[in-house]
Amino acid sequence: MEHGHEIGSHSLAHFAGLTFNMDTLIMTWITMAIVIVLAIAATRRMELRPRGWQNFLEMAVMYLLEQMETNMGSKGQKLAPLIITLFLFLVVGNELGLIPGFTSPTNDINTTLGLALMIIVIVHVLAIKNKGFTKYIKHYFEPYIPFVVINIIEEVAKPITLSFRLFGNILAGEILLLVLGMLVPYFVPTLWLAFSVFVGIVQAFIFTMLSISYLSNSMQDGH
Amino acid sequence: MGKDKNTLLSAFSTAASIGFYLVSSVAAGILLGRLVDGYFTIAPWGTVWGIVLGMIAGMWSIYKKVVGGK
Repeated sequence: MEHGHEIGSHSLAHFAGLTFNMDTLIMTWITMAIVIVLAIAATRRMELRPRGWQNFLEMAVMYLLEQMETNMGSKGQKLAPLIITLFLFLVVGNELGLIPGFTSPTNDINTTLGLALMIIVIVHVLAIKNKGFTKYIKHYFEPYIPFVVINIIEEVAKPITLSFRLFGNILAGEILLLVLGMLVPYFVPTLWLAFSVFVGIVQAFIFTMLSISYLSNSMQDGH
Repeated sequence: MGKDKNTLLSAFSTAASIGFYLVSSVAAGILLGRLVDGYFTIAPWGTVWGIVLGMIAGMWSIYKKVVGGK
């Protein structure tokens, strides 16, 4: 392809009976490196009146903290590092694919499903810890006993809705960028590129907000 | 940032994700239905009921999200 990579197909590596998508893996490492560098750059010379990266990161962190405070109360502050890191990883990962020659780690279902499963496992562990095992099991049979099937489907649907939305949006964005680049070069792809920057941030935001919402349900002592 | 803006943005994220609740619930229903089909060898009834229950589950989770505010 023109842009140096094919979207949706991965370069595979086999190791110990497992198959690895090398491009996703390398992009994940690059994303991790960028997030770490951003965090260091923002906190290295902290000033009372923030400028540059410190200003931007402080805005994002303050906003996420406020969201967590509203949804989970003071108990949720324990999860702040997880949520903030998740948001930064997703924002950087989503935008990485817009650089020519790079792909987003989030255009691979393995990455997004992995992140979603991580959130869902934490949700259930916290629910058992906060509500107690009996109350946790009982919650599946509410409001009536036959609702157990529907409640289980709902629980299975949570990681699906989290992962597929992010994966679909990012992959579709990159495919469209490539197709538009071939069909109508320069003007239209530039517009779509600008829109994709917005979509990347919004999708990272929605993933984080839904994670907060799922986690807040499990943080409550009652239902 | 004010509380109104917080509520607005959470409402926005809920609205943006509501369609996916329906689709993913049906997907989960199909997944579980196929598992039931494989286990009890009653194909295609497990999948059929999985789809129906998935649709109900999707509506139920949207109802809870909108009415219960969570």
